[in-house]
Amino acid sequence: MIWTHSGIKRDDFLAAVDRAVVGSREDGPFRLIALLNSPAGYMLVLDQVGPGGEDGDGANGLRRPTRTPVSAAYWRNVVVPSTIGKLLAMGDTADFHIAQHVRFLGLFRPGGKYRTGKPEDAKYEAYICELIPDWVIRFFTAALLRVKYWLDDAPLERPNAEEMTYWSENHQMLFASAEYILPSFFPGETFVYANQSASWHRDRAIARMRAWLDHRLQFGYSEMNSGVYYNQHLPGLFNLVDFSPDEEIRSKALIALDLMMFDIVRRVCQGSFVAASGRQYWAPKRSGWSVSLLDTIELLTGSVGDCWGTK
Amino acid sequence: MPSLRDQLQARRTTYLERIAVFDSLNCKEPYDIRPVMTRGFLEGGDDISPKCEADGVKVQRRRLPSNIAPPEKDAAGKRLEDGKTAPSGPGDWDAILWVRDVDGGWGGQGETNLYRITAQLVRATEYFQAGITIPFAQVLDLITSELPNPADTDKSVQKAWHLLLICGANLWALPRSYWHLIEDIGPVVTNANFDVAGAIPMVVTFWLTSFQRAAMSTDGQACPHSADLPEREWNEACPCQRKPPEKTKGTTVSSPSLESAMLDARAALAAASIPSPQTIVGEFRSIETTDALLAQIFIWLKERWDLVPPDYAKLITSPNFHPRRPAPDADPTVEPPLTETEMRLNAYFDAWVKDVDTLRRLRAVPQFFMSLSGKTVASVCAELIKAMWPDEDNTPYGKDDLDAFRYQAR
Repeated sequence: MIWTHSGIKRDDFLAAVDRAVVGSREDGPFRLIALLNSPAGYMLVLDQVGPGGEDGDGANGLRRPTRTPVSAAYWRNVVVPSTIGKLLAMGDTADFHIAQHVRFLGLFRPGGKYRTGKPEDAKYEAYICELIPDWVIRFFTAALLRVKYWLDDAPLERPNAEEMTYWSENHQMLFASAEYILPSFFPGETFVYANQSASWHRDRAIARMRAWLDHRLQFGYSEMNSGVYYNQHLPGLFNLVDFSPDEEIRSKALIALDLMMFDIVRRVCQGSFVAASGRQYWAPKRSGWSVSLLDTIELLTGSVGDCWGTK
Repeated sequence: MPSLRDQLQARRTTYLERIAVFDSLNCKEPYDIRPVMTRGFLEGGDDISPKCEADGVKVQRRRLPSNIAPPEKDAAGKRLEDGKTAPSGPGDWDAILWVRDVDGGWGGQGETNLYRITAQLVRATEYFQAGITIPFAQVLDLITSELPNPADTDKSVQKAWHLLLICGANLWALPRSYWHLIEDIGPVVTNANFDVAGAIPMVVTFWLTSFQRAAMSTDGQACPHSADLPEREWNEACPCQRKPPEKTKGTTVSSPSLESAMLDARAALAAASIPSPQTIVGEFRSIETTDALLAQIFIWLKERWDLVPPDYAKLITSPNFHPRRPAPDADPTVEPPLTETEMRLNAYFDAWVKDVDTLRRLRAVPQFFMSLSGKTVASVCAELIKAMWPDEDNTPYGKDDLDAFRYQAR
């Protein structure tokens, strides 16, 4: 038992340090940082997998990072805090991070939007593959194939029985959109948490996705005008628009996105999106600068301006 | 008239340019972080009163760090010309640069996340399609061109430090690996008020980061430092043009040579059962302690030993000396109470033992790093991480972290 009610035990931590560098693994220092910064995901997954979990395909492709500055940049900025710290640990709000991974893979995995594999794109492929090491693609893929995508899958079996949050509007859509899109990226893979095929997950998710979109188009957003949560809706909706394999879902997502954009633009005043809202926290109620979709507002309206009203 | 879509796309292009505004600079990639340092280029900001502003008082640019390259300096100056009259904030391009992970700290404490990387890659793709290749280092904000080999044994401690930071160790948390040793030292201050213990962390930090600094300076092209800006003008008649603070000269400490300090401390070293001062010199030189600081260590030791009167000193250092300490409830006929002389002797003895122990704890810092040298980089990494949790009471995780782990547990 690694975990106690008071947290991680020192002896287990020290033993994990030894295991991380055993056999002079070249990725030892990388693993040490994962253990230090994201101990839950590291101890529960990376510390447990042997070569079979690193060198295989699909969910068994948690590849070792290569010893390059590019790999280190991904490791410290994304893999440790997000891929290991959220996806593999299945920590709460992991779906926010899943959406990031879905977009990245949708655009930049071999066969993704930009990496067509066509002969005329060979020069670009040679350039971009240096920026995106193969292990990154495989590691992200493996992590996504290990996630628990819906509440009625088997419990996580944590001591406190806690689960990730699936039930508010943004979480419903973020989990559903990922579970719906990913099977089209990896049609032949097994999603190991539920041990089900890609098509099984697609069929399960499309019903939820369709219902969610229909409800938005019928009733509007329950987290309406939320300066906090619109920023979580947007990645999922953009992913649906860009990567949905079905035109029906893509069209509905585009309409839902248009409505959201209209809401935002209509209620922005001098760059501040602070309006009557279904779900809001103190900071974005207090100041337009603290609204989480500030960048989106600047992109849409160009009205955020320079600081302190100097523009 | 451009369509709405055209306008949106134009704004998007501008936005992506703002994310990586300095790609057009000629500086080598690792120096791309330095525009960040221009964000504090204004002094005063809105503290120019309306009256003074009406009189034509202009905000002046803050003096920039000397290692900033001319393009950044020019950019800072240009920013003023463009009407920038306030400190940088969330809407400024330099504020966007601020959130890069390399500036917020080495441990991914900035806001470089997968969205940002994706945006950078999209931008690099669009440039590539337009016939312009953005160097890798600029796309991913790389800060070095090579990682140390985990099997290396040369300078392995400094390389391990560099490697752990590059891989994402928190710049502020990693020193926990030796900080408990520093905290254990306690006060070590000479009569001239030189804080020896206070100087040790700086020595250690400078030594630990030496490989990192060398790696970054060799990776990057040595940008010529342009001349410093002229001194800021000031005018006592105007509250907005305050006189710049005078540069502090610092406390001058008379610094005898290391050789003379060692010679003077011979008796103290003998009393501390240290056969040769070279032992201490070797330990501290292993972490590149300067001779001046080493001399201060010997001076401190001598000063502590000089507090013991010569008669007592002779007794204390005699091989057969054992302080007599009768138990409080001892029978006075069997064990007579301490005489005044004995009490004084014991006090001097105890104080000296404490000083010797302080010296031992001071030496424990370089000894810790010496114990790591010669090992492979990977082994040193492991030892440093282990040392972050030296005992049950010194955990690298706060209570909130530990509670969070509990929630992550399966």
